[in-house]
Amino acid sequence: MDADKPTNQPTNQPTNQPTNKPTNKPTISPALRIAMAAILTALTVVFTYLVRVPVAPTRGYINLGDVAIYFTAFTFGPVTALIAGGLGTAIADLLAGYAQWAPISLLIHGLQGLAAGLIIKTAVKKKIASSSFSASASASSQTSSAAYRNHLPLWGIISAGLVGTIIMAALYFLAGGILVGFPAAAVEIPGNLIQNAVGILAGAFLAAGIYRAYPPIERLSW
Amino acid sequence: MIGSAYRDTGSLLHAFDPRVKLLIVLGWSVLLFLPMPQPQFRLPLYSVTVFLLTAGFLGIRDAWTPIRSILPLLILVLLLTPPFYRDGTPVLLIGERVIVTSGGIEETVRLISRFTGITMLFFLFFRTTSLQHVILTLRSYGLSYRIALVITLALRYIPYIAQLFKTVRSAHALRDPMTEPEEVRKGWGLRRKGLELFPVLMSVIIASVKTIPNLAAGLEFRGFGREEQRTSYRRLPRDIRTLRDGLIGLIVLSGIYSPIILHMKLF
Repeated sequence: MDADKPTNQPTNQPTNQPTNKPTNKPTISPALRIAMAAILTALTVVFTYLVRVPVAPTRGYINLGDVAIYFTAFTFGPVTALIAGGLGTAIADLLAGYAQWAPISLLIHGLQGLAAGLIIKTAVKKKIASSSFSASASASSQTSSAAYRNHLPLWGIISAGLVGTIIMAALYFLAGGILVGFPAAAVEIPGNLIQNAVGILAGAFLAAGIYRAYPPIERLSW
Repeated sequence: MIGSAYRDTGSLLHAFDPRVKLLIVLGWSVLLFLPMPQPQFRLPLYSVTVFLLTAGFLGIRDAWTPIRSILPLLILVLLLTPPFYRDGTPVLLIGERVIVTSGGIEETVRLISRFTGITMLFFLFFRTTSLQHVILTLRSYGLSYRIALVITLALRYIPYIAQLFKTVRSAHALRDPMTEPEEVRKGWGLRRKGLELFPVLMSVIIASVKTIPNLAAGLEFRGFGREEQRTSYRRLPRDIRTLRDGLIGLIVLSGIYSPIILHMKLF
């Protein structure tokens, strides 16, 4: 009975109501934005600090912080990626005992997430605008989600990844050069490139996978 | 599983005002980048002073912790820097070829001292200041309520997601146990490890993302998003001790900056 009555309460839950356009998302409340940023920051910390893949040849580790950053950028948009990428890696540095790198990580990974998110957002918008699919695609939320997923273009992912990688590797080289000298900072470049390549690849697959597994996520981008 | 750098040993620095501590850390860090007379002697002196302060307040064992963590990088700097700086007189020659010059040694000393100093300063700050006080300090320097809330909530959810990751990984391992012996598994390539990890990451992400609406609802239930200004439960005190610590901080900063100020006046 009450379900039919209009309500003025702010809505947090991403609704499953049909939308007119694939990108026509409901207004996201400040509380939902804070919650998204907090959870994805925590996720970035865990991916950076805990999840490590051993690399046999170098006996080193690849951390998956960049996976979380690219996943956030591809799925939740530039602002969430800026906050979660910057804060997440900075907190991970603090917890891991590398506090001196925390301000640098905050800035660099934040910019990396922001740039990747902006590029992918522009790419998605362009593809949707140029596609005739946009007018008829949103008959249901599932179709809408499929539309959004199908509009996550490969060239957008590649260019977002490339720009993110360049920003991250170049700024770390610059910051490392100022702190420990450019010869020592140059040693870090291959590792950063590998970490980014893994991040882009896994981030894109995870983003595509989550659109399939949890369609309401589409409405959480801002 | 996850621990911060903070250890409550009840030293004098623990009781020191965190706002002043942060100012000293930043002031001291900036100092290490400024031009100064005879940097090859002064920079190591500044860094050794921080080390001695750390050892004095926290013990020699604790003071060694940050050095140990950056030791590989310091060795890298030691090996790679001298060959790239050719200024000054030759110090080490192999045949006719100059390997190390005095300029190279000075640059290496400068870089190692600076990086060690900054590492020790940040370690000292975070070893003696809890993350809650760090957030309150940043709040008192103008960090917005929303960003502070994001950090606080993230710190609340890190152990939850970390535990979730371990649970999901165990569940996946139980469902699809690995029959290969340990030595065979160690030899698995990156692709295999990635494929094994991917479903775990996906499950963790979905479970984490599903908590977002619940958290948002909780925040709105607590009144977040309304027009009135938010209040904080805790604030850093502003009393006579703050003034005392501020004065001590001023003296410390004046003391370490005075050689540079004098140098600027002289030249």
